[in-house]
Amino acid sequence: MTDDSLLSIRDLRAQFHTDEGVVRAVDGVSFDVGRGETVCLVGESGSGKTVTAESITRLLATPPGRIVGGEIRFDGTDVTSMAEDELRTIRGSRIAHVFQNPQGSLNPVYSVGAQIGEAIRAHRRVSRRHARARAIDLLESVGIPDPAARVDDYPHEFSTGQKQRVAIAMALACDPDLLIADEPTTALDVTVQADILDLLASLQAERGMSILLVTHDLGVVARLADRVVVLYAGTVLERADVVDLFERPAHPYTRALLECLPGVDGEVEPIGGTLPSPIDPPDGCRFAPRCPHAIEECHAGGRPPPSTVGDDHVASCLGYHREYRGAIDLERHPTAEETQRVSDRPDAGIDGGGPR
Amino acid sequence: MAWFVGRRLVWALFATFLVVTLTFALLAASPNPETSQAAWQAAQDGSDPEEARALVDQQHGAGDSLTTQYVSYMVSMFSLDWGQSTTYNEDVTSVIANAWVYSAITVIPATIIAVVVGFGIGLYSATHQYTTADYAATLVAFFGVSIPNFWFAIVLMLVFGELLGLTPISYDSEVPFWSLEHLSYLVLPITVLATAAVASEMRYARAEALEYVSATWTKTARAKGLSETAVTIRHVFRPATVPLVTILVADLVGIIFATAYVVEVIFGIPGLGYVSYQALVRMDTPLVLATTLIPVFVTIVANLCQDLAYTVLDPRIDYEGRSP
Amino acid sequence: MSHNRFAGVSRRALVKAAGVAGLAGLAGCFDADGGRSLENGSDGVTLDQREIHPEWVHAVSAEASELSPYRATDYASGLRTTLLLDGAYTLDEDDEFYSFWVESYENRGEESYAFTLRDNLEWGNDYGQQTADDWVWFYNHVVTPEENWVGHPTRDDWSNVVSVERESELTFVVDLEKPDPLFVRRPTMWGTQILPSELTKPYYERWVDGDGDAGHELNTADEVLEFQYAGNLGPYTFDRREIEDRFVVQRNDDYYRRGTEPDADDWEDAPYFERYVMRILPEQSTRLAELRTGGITYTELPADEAHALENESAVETVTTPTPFLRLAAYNQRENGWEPFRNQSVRQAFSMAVEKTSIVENIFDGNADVAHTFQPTYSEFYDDSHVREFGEGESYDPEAARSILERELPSAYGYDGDVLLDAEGSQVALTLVYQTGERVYRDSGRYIAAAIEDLGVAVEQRAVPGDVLLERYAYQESDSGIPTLNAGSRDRYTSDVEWDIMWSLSLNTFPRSPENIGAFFTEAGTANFMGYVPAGDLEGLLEEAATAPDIERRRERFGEVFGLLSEEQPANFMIFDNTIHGYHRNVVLTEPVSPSWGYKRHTYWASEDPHG
Repeated sequence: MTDDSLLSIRDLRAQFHTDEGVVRAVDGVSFDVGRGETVCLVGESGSGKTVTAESITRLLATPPGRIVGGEIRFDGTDVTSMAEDELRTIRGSRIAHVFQNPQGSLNPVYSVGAQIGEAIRAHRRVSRRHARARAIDLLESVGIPDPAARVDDYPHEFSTGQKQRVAIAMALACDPDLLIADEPTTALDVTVQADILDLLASLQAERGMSILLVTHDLGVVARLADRVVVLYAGTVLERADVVDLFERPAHPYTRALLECLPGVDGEVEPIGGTLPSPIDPPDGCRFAPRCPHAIEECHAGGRPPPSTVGDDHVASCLGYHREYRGAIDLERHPTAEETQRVSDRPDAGIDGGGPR
Repeated sequence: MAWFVGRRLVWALFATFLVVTLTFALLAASPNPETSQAAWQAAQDGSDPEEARALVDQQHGAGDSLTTQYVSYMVSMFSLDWGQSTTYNEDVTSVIANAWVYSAITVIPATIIAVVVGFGIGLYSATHQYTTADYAATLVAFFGVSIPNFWFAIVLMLVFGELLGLTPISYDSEVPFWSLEHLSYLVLPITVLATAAVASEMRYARAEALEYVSATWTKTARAKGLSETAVTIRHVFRPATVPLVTILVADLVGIIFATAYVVEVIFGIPGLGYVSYQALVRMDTPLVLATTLIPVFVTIVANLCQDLAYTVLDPRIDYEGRSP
Repeated sequence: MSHNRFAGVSRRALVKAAGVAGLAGLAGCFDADGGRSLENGSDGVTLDQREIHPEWVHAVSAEASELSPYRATDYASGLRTTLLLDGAYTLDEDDEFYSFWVESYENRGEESYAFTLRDNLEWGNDYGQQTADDWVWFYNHVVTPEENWVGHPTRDDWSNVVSVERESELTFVVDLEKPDPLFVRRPTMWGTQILPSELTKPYYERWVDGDGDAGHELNTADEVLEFQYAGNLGPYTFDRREIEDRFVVQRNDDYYRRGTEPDADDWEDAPYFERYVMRILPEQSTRLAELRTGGITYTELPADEAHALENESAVETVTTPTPFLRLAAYNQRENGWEPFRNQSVRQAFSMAVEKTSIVENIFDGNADVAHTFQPTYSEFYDDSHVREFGEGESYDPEAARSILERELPSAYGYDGDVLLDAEGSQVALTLVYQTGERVYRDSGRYIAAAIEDLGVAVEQRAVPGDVLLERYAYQESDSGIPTLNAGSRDRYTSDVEWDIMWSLSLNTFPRSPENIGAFFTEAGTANFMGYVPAGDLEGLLEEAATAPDIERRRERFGEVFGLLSEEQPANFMIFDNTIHGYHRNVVLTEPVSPSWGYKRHTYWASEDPHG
């Protein structure tokens, strides 16, 4: 939130045009990523975290997607107003991406060396030979054994975990300042997941780059994040330092999420209800229909403004708003009956799968 | 690889043998319309219909037993001595040699146009999905696929040939081969041939390309900072060539050969399509077998080339037996 | 497809064209007064404008399969061979002898005819002059041998001939077994084309020596296929044939007929085109478009397009009558509707179909209503004997119903408008016709509707021509061979059941009507419908055929055709017309007649049609 943030997003809004109507996938998201910092975007699927991540370098498929408002500043420059060509000089060279599915993110018809080389040559005037040599180095740095022999292999000759390493190598090709990793471990075996997370952590340590990690997995958050942004139905519900968030979750949604995490309370309690309609979102707090603490005011008017709940810790909940403090007892554990009630609410019944 | 090609060639020979045998069996089992007509005429005249039948059969070499005929046809087919056409009283090879040129001058340009234009529009359409151009292209494809090509050919002929006088109406084989004038005779036939094929290629190209337009690797490529053109060509079109090659062979052989017959009939082009059809109608066994043999063999060889092309186009495919 | 075919075009072509292959519902209006004046098409054109133009382009629909005159019996082949070989002679608009190779003939009693060849007939390839010996040799070595070694399909035409003898170098005498006053009009001699005997001999000798392929090799020898032997015997000489594309011939510089009688003026410099190109354009729309735009000189037209073209200034149309009758046959065999064996029932059905409507509305006026198996222009047609059905007052569905009520077995009966059979269900009949031309289908539907008006349900079946013959007309004989009349109608039936068969076109043989016995006598070779005449048709035909004088023949044939119209073995529906479409510059030189085209090589052009 300081001026020297590497990435600063303010009131980002992105929409999708579908046959059913306009989906407001991202509806006023703001957060920052500092230099050398790892920020996690956390949320259920459909919460808008991927759309947010892909809006930064405009990878969002347009149409049907469209960025309709807000500001994204990268290293002090407004990228939202950048022309496509200008933006392309940033993509891959200063902001790199790693995607969820390593099976699909590598093109099956080119060797991995060629694909890494392509990333290099997109931004640097180097010879193919040079690019290949660099690709070998990169493969080595992501932990591919015998990289000189494997550089000419095709993606199908690598295991899934190795493919993700290759994808990371490709992302690192031009020493980016920011690595955006969208669920980088979700498609992987549990054992491999840890390796990849370790790799990301060590690469960040080596290179001092920033990482914006998109995940639904609080375990991943706990492992890598410096700071956390909790997204829900296209809005930010809470932003906090990772320790703060885990120790003092402020928003009822965050609390519910943490309760879902096995091993915290011993048993998993799923959050009742489902995501609200992204086409016609409810008034007031978007989480209100599922919130066991919601009062009448939570269902009306605009979205609750962010309230500071601690040092660099913000939650958008009326429970922290001066006017309603006391009206909502956030510390009260909801009864089973209340949980049941929210999941039966008709307006909570729309499946909110985010558009992809 | 050699083992694979060898195996495929043996299979090609075997398949050709099967198809030719089947064709022979079908011909042998069907009544010859010329026979019944000759007998009908004879009966009308008060002549002996049986003698009339016998004369026609004799002309078609049907005097011998079926086995003898079969063996002699097979031997001549595979020894490439295809004998004489019973309808034209000319060597089958020379009939085909004369006809194929006329087919080639329409089919080859139409194929090239179909591939270039069809793939081009399909690709553009896929990378510009939901735009006006995409809708227009879809409409054109729909038009090209659904209009009956004989109707389209006649309309083109009447509009451009007769009404506007911009092109000749029918083909004239006496026009100098290497001349602009010749080209004017070929414009309409090639247009008709290409329309159906372009539309079909374009639909496939669009469908295949769409699959890759939304593939994660194109997003990866874009995230790497590649230009749209590079993304389209390297990451959409290039992988799409793999399935497209499959379609190309089956589809072009099918569409172009079928349309070629129609086009040849309407524009009076003495090409292979029309000659093959006539051979069939007139039960000209040597010519039917030879004209069957050619497309069958071409298709099989084209399929082989296609399979070999896979190994080049798709590194996941390998006939050496390494795991895919 | 194909069409007229009289004069000039070999008679084999004529015969063949009558077949299912000939199809074409061509039709037209042949004015009773002899057709429209041809000068209309060539106003103010005089003979001194006649010059030789580069090209006559004739568009046809199909390639020819035979080019040996011994084998060229189909229409398409005949069209080509007659460009190079005139044949013996032809018949003019009055069905009279018109000289080609044979200069004149002499009737030596009714059993002997002497034919004298012109003195200027030269074979090509050094075969010398065509003489009486060529014809004698042809008769003795091609027509009469037990085995048909060259595959000459019309040897039966010679069945009444007992000998052909040389009388002098140019005269040969044909002796007949039975007297035949009309022999000259028979196809035996007219239109017959032969090969030089010297060319044929070596093949004949090989055949005698046991070489079974000799005949086929003769018919496919280069010398024969390229007409090298044709010399000056036709208006053109062979240039080339491109398969399924074109047949090109060049003007014959030594044409024997040039400047000779009859009509020496017309033949003065004939033919009047440097070359004659026969182009194969299988699609009718293409041929018509080429004709309208002046791309071709001549083509034949379909009946339902003719009127549209008459109004085109670029096109001159000529409609000529044909002897081809399209009928709806009633199946009187075991697998047909049994009541069709009752003449009154057949009459009732014929009464219910209005022929004028088919001619006017479906054939667009380009056909003629028929009432019996002979065209009205035939000299053997006698109006006074013919009973009409289905035209004017004789179209009477009401009367037809009451006839059916009366004539059908008592178990049948009308329930309101519906005709019920013995089981009390509606009578259902199958109407079958061939596919291929729109007019067959349209008239088939019309006939079905007319019969349905009698309270009968009709199932229509459209099948290809050869299927129509093989499955519906032919019966299997005892020896297993498909035959049009395998024997008793109670025993032999076609594979598939049918009741009425529309669209077949039959030759009515106006020049030699005794041939019709093949269709209508009980044992006739082509009596596929199982008709058994109630009257003594066979006796009448026999009398007519052997009558010593022409008057008596006319009388007897008049009775024959009266009997047929009365008995209605089939509904004699319409006569086809042939419609010719010419480039407007073409000057035609003969009156419209069924013999149309006998002088076609004297046609010329007032200006170059394709200049």
